Parts: sequence; structure tokens; C-alpha cells
Amino acid sequence: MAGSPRKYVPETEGLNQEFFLRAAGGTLHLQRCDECGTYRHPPRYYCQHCFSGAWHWEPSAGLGRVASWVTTHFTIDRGWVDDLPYTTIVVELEEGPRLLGAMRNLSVEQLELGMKVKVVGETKRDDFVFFWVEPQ
Amino acid sequence: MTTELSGKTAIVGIAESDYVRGADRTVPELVFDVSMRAIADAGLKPSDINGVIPPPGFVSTEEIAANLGMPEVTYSVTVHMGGASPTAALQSAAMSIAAGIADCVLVTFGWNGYSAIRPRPDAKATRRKLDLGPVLETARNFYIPYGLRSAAEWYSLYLQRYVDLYDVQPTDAAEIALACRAHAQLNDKALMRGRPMTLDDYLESAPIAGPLRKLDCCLETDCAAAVVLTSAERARDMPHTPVLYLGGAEGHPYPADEITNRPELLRLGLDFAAPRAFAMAGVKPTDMDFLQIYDCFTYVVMMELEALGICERGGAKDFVKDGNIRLGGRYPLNTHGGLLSQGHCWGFNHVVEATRQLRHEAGAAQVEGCELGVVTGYGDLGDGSIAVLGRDR
Repeated sequence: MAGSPRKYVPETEGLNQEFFLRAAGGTLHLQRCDECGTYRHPPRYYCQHCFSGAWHWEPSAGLGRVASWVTTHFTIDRGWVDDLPYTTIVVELEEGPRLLGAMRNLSVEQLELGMKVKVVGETKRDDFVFFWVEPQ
Repeated sequence: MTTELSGKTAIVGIAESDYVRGADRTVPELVFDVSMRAIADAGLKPSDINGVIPPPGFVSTEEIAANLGMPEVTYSVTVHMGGASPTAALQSAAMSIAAGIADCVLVTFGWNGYSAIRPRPDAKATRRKLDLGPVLETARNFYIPYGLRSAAEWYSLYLQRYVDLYDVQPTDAAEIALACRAHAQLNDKALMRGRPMTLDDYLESAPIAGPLRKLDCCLETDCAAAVVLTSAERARDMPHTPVLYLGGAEGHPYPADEITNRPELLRLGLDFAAPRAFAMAGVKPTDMDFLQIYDCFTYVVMMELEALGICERGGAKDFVKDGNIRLGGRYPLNTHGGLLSQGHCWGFNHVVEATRQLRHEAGAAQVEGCELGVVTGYGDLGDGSIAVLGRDR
């Protein structure tokens, strides 16, 4: 709607920017350790399990299960006032890491811990992707 | 392991500003004023101070030293743990004194909390900013784009799990809000003095995020506070009964800069810190005569009580009942009204109140004959700090 305050889109840099650039290419990618194979998110320079600095990006289908959610009824973010109340879902991806996204095509009444969902990216700028969480 | 620090230093001076919504003075002015008064309360002059721990942002050691008159500062450091900073700073102050690096250390905090996080038309704008540090890098990229911009929303990422797992009801959390509000009625400096709260007020207050209602949330406040520490030996020649730093610690959840991928979602910084602090002090949580618990949100207080080990995990909802945390009960909590009903001074008002209690100068809120008390701090994405304080015998 014209005149509505815009939602915040971060200036990204470093590993976070690499993460978003990959996702902006159309496919979610997660960091995976070359040594022990552990996936990780958010992006980190070393593996928390084996401390290796060798890693690569691995494509992910974005499939996972609901780990938790928060519904916001009051916000200090003017870009989100028109969306109240809105629900943010934490998804545990099949690879292990958890990713946060906005609920879409679902209602709070339908949500259950462990229910199958998928993460769908929407490119907001070439170096930032917004994630939606939808039913599989 | 660090018991050699226990009882070696003491809080000897305290001061706090009024707690207001929209201060007439700038943050540096508030900080200079409380610093000057805390130094005077200790019977010292600014030139006696050679250690300074300023808040993370707003005002620097250099400005404090130049404005008050501290010609030789030998030690300065800033703690970056959000609301856990002031209580964690006591540890740095105690270490610097015990190590002989500084003799008298000023720890101070002040801010324009009423307008720092969101603009207010009736508050003066300021160029002085809070320094939230690199914790914001995660929030900027992964939380704020989703409308999760405030602490209420960030902490709900674990508070929701906490209430679901332990079946914590709003009427349980209400006990904390009601106790703080009742205690604020005894405090001339409490923002909510003269505004008592009923359970119905609490239950009817608007939902904010996750399990949080408006009356679960602390007050956005402009304020400042300061304390002065020195060696226990020197403290005994000063005007007030020394309040000994018996034990203290800081702790960080892991990873501290991101909530959702923590292997143990409900393990906060205080869970790491509290056992170390009580071990240093050589006392048990159940030895405490009062509890000054960082109360940004009621449910956070519940998690902190459990982290202290004063009740079991999930046990806070029973612990807070039956007047247990009210004045006159076994564990009076936030006897000044806390962040919830006095004002939000990053928990430094808790340190000031704990000191007043242990000096036996707490007026109508005095916990009779108290000898031992605990102060906690909590900040950023779940960092924790703790100080176990005792009245010098």
C-alpha cells in the first residue's frame, strides 16, 4: 500500500551475505563442514564440533518441521504494524540447523510442534532473501 | 578457584537518579550527577577514583574523568552484556582492586531508555547511542527482517518454550509483576508509586508477543545509577557499613549471539554463572535474605530463579506463590519495585537497592536484619551476571 512504512531489509556482508547470495540464486544453501559433515546455521567460520575451518555450501530443499513459533501482537516496527498479529516460525530443517521465517498459507490454529513445513525464499534484493514457512 | 576474590572488596558508595519518562537532562549529565553523588556517599573526592567502568555507549571514561576531575585513571573497561553489564562490571571492579591495579573504582550506568529503542515525540532526541555491539549482527540478518525487533520478541523465542514445557500460567507470572508493583508503593523513586496493580489489571493487559502481556514487561525509563567499590580494608574507615562483594560471575548462553540454534534452548547465561558465584562466596542460594532479580520480563525472572538453584527447573511457578517473594515472606524479591515498577536502569537499581538493604537503610522496604543478598543481571540474548553481597560484620 502506498505510504506504508517499508519493512527492514538489512545491508549484508561477509558469510551472511554469501548465504543470502546463494539463496537469491533460487536454492537455499547451508554450510557443511568438510571434515565431520555437520551442517550449521547461521554461517560461521569454524565448525563448532570439530573446529575445522574447511567447509562448503550444500543445497537444501528447505524441508523440515516446526520447532517453535512466536506470535507478535504489538510491535515497535512500523513496517510490520499492518501485519499484526503475525507469527514467526522456527523450522528445524532435515539437515539439522534451525531457520526462522514468516508463516504463510497456515494459521496459528493449525500449527503443531513437529508438523512438516517447507522454507521458501523470496528475494528482496540480490543480497537478501526473506524466508516464508509454508505447509509441505 | 577464585575464592581469593571473595570478601576482598566492598561497595562503599551508591547513588541513583529519578526514574522518569523523558528526562530534562542529557544522559552524560545524569551519569555525572550520580557519579558525583556516589563518590560523596563513600566520603571520597573524584580525585580518589582511579578506576572507571562506564556503560556500553552514551558516555566515555574520558568524559567522566574530565568532567568530575579524576587526574589519574589507572584502569578502565566497558562490559558489553546489555542489561547484564552493570552487575558483571562489579566483577571487573573487584578484580582490578584485588589485583592492586586500581584503589577506588566507579561503576556507572545511565540512559534515555524511554526513547532509546523507539522514538517518542515528547522526549528530547540525543546523538548519544547505546552500543549493542555485535549481537545485533544476527538480529539484523535473521530476526529484525521478520518484525522481531524488540527484546520481548527475541526472548519469546525461548520463553514460549519455557511456558509450554513447564505449563507456566499467566497467573504464575503475575505474582512477580504484582510483588514488584506492591514493593514500588514503598519507594519514593518508583515510577509506579501510587499506581497499584491488581490481578485483573494484569490479566486484562494487552498481549505483546509470545506469552508476554504488557504488564509482564518492564518500564522504558530515563535514569542513571552509580556505585563505588574499594578494598574491604579501606571500606571499614568509610562512612557506611561496607557491603562486601562475596562472589560474582558472568555467563553466556551458547551460542550467545543466536537463539534458535542453541542445543540447550533454556540454558541461559545465569545457569553458567550462578554456581560459580555461590561457590566463590561459599554460601548457598537458600542462605539469601533477599533477591534482587533482573526483571526485564516476569518469565525471565522465573527462569533466573531456577538458574540460581533456589528452586528446581520448572519450580519457579510454585516458588513465587503464597507471599514467598513479598516483603515479609522468606525471599523478598525486588524490594525497590524492580525494572517492572521502579524503572529500567539495566539492573543497576538492583545493586543500589541491595546495598541499601545490607546497610539497613532501606526504609519501609527494609528486610529486617538482612545479612546476605543476591543481585542478578540479564541482557542481550540471554547473557547473565550475578553478585552475592554481604553486610560486613
